[in-house]
Amino acid sequence: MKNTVHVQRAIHKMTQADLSEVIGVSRQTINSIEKNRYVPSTVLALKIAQHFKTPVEHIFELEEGD
Amino acid sequence: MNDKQLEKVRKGDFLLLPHYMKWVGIIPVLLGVTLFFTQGYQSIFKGEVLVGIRGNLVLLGFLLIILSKEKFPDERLLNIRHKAMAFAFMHGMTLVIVLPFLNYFAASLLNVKMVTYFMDFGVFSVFIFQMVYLINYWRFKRDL
Repeated sequence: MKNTVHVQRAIHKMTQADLSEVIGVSRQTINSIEKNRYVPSTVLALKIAQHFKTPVEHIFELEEGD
Repeated sequence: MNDKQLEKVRKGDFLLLPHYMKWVGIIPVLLGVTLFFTQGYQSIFKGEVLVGIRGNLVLLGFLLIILSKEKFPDERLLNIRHKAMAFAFMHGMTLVIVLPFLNYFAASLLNVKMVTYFMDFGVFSVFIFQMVYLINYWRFKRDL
């Protein structure tokens, strides 16, 4: 699954630390999500989408093979 | 299971201790390791009991370290914890099953029993399980 968290973060001028604080996870978790090393839970994905005020499927997208 | 128990299971961190217990866990580990190296001074400790529990002290310390929460616990770390546990189960079990055979070969070739030379077999099995867990946990935390 690919995502555009880093793009959304850049649009909202937020650092990984800022986003992690708002969402309530560690900065390493945001970093892992952005690098596609960790697929977040539905709850976390919805929290991120809600924060950026955009539908979740605009941020997280299935890839071939998922 | 009632709702309260189910909620605890869902969260998955019902067995975890506070973060500071990680530092508390280092004390019995160090004490146990010290007792291993003071084997020659058993008489000072009036020793059989202390020598008997030194392995268990190490296990207790590592158990506290394993069960303590991280500074900032979140779902990724919980996920990594579960993966490391699964790996420890598979690798640990394999080692525990294979180890008596290795021990037997070592005993027949080198005339020394690897495990009983260092510690009790049960303690050694749990120690292996804990080490595999910790190594995998640190590895996954770094790479995932």
